[in-house]
Amino acid sequence: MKNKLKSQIEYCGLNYSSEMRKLVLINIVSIITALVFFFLTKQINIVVSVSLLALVIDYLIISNYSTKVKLLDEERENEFVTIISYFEIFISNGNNVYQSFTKTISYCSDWMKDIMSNLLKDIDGDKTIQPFINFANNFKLKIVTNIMLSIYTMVDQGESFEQINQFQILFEQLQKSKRIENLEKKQRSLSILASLPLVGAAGMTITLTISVIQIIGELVNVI
Amino acid sequence: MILLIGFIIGIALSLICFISTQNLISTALVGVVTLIYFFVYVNKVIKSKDEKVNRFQDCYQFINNFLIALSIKGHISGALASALESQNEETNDLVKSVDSNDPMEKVIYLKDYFKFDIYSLFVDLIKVFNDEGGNIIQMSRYLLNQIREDEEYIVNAERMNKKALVEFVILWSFALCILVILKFALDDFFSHIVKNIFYQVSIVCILLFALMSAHIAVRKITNIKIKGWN
Repeated sequence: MKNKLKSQIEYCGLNYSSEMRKLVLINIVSIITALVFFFLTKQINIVVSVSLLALVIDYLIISNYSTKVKLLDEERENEFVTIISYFEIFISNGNNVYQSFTKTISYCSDWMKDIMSNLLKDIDGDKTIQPFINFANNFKLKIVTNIMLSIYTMVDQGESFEQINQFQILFEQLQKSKRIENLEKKQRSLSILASLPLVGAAGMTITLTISVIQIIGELVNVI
Repeated sequence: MILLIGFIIGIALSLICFISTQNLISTALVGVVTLIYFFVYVNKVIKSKDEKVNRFQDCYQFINNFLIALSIKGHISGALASALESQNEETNDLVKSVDSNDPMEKVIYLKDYFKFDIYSLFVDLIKVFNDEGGNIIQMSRYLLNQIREDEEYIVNAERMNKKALVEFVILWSFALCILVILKFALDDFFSHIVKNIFYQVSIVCILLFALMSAHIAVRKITNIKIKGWN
């Protein structure tokens, strides 16, 4: 559990120790708040409520790391698709694989720039398939490996029409599925908006119900 | 336009707050927060998103027209003149401001205006064509595919945004109508309810939640990523 959390935090580019310090600080503040309220009001309900709130905040913070990891993976996969589409433009205009990758570097994010530079460095020293596999290992999508293998065949067997065509078929498949996935993601994200007015309406109903009950209670007491 | 919408929403929320709480302080709080939010934040964010989308559409049109004209005329100066015909005054003025007579320099200069990766790729492609020649339609096939896909994504995203926004506004209008209708339907009860502090605080919280949900909507609607534009 601890190792998994640590690896998730580090994967997001955050520092494990500082994130843990933040979590501990939130809990200390919650405990102090609960104690202050308890000494002021002598009501155990407040201590329980503050403790529950602290637990909910802990849960939200911890679960947020896995969401961040997922988002980061998606972002990197989307960037891969964009960068390879630029690679496709360069390769179809007579550049070889090495030149095309070199030209795409200026369009990469820092993370992509790092792994792309490593790929180019590895290609210089190692003419086998390994640098391409190492590059593909940075992504969780299996099709990335297939695309990198098809790019390797271009290096190995020359950038012939057939090799480029094979790469393009694979890449179009990935591009299409990513395009559909992105639109579906946008649709899902927008559908949350429709639930917010319902939450507001529920809040109003609860408020009105409690207020009416309180008034009825006061009337009953008067009678 | 955004400011007018913000003003109307601010007035509407204040009015609902006043009808349901009969409290001037709560009404002023809701009204001021809404107006500040729309005037300071929403106005800026929506303008910046519109600028990005419009600029991308101009860029798409420019590249498309440029490449078609280049394939017919065969020279960059003619293609640039044709592409600029469909552009707005701002783009034309920008090109005119370039001191050089070299059309390639003018195309490169527009990189600062069309700050998208796809435009940089287009410039690279035109440089290759300028130096080595070739069939521009064949050379730009993948670039045009890519830019068409980006344009298609933006059009689809904008359509989804509009649909979601209409749903969102209608649902919130119905939800807030409950408060106004109840005020008139339960008039006797209401005179007692408005004295309740829990009710007063809850209504202000609900109206602020409505504003918070508007913030979530604005963030989702303006979230359109185009590579190269930060």
